[in-house]
Amino acid sequence: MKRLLQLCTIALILIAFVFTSCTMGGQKGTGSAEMVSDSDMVVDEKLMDDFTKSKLIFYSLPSPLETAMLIKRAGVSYNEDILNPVDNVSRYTTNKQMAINLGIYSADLSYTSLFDQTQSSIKYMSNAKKMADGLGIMEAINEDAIKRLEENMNNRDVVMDIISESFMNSNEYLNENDRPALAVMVLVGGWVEGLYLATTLTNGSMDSNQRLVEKIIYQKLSLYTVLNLLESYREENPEIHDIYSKINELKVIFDQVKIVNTSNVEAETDTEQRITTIKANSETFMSKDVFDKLCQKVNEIRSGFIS
Amino acid sequence: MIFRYFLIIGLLTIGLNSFSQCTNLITDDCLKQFGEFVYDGNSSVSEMKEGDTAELFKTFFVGQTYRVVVCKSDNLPSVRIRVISSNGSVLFDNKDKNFEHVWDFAVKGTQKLIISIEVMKKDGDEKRELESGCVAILFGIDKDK
Repeated sequence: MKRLLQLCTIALILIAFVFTSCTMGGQKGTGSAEMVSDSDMVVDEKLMDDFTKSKLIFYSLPSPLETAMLIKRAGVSYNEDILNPVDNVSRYTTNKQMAINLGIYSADLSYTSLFDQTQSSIKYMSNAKKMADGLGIMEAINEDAIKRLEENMNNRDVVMDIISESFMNSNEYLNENDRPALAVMVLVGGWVEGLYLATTLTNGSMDSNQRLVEKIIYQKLSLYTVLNLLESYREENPEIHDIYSKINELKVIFDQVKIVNTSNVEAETDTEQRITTIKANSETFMSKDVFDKLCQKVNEIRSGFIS
Repeated sequence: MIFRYFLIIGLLTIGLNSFSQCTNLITDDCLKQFGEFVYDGNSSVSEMKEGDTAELFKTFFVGQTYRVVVCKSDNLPSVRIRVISSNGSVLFDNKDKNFEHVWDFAVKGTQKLIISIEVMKKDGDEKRELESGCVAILFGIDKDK
């Protein structure tokens, strides 16, 4: 009995050490409008210097829900055939596969729910839960979340809340359990699926939906965030290294996409309404050849993720 | 011996509860601040102490209106929020707005911006121990479009 108690105590101390040593998230008026323009201001060298000295940096990607909203607001129609098939879920057995496809199924779930595809949303939520369960984060998407989703399928606001909270829970549980590399894989899986849905919904045409093509072009800005996120774990994690290499191939193509700011960034703040309007103009350029290569590369990376 | 065992279990339970306090801050406090906005599901949360600074890099897409919500443990003083353009110009500073922790941003041109947050220092004895606690920064999107 005494020896058993000693063993239990040692085990619990070890568990406590693992849990407590983890860090979360980061790696390290009066009604009158106020105008601020970056042309009016000298660049604050001290401020920029402070940035580089700072230890805690967060990188924020468009979430699956935001990406689905951007796609829908571009005026596309729903196409279930392009989603990762529900039956594929049984293929994913390794932590890497489950993390990436948790992100992918979360993106598909966001897309189905924004287009009010209730039955498909329940199936994709169930698949996201299976991935979370497989990763050992059962509480991230619990039975209560599935039940609430089923009961509120006709209330899109509640559905979006459930989806965003489930996504947040999954990432926080992974970070809190000292598995941040898997959390990064979830984020990257979701981002790649969003880019895949957007590129596929263009049907290979740059002219059929220019708003959607513009959204794809501006993912160049998020690409660097993806690479920064992966960079943090690349040396220590061979699976992240593999994903980094693939995303770097995408960077080679995105490097040929041009985004040029043609005006200063201006901000106008309405203190009474507690809102700041940020204005900036930019021009973008992407050739058809680059667009085709981009669609092909995204398809290739995503096929590798879901196979 | 048994007493010591249960004492250790008790201490560990306290440890495990505090370990998830930052996530509890999000669910119990931050999410209530979104109102007519939908929370996007991303979370950037960390333990910080007085004087600490963090930066978040995010692309803001044209046509969207975002709500930025910063929430913190009760023991921490106000958090300064600055929105900064890629060339270092400060576009918004909540120091001029009574340190409001909830603010909306309507975006008329896609831009990658830096959100800088700084936990202010309490006035008083310089030699005192600095307070620390959780700070979270979350984003919501206007859904009425």
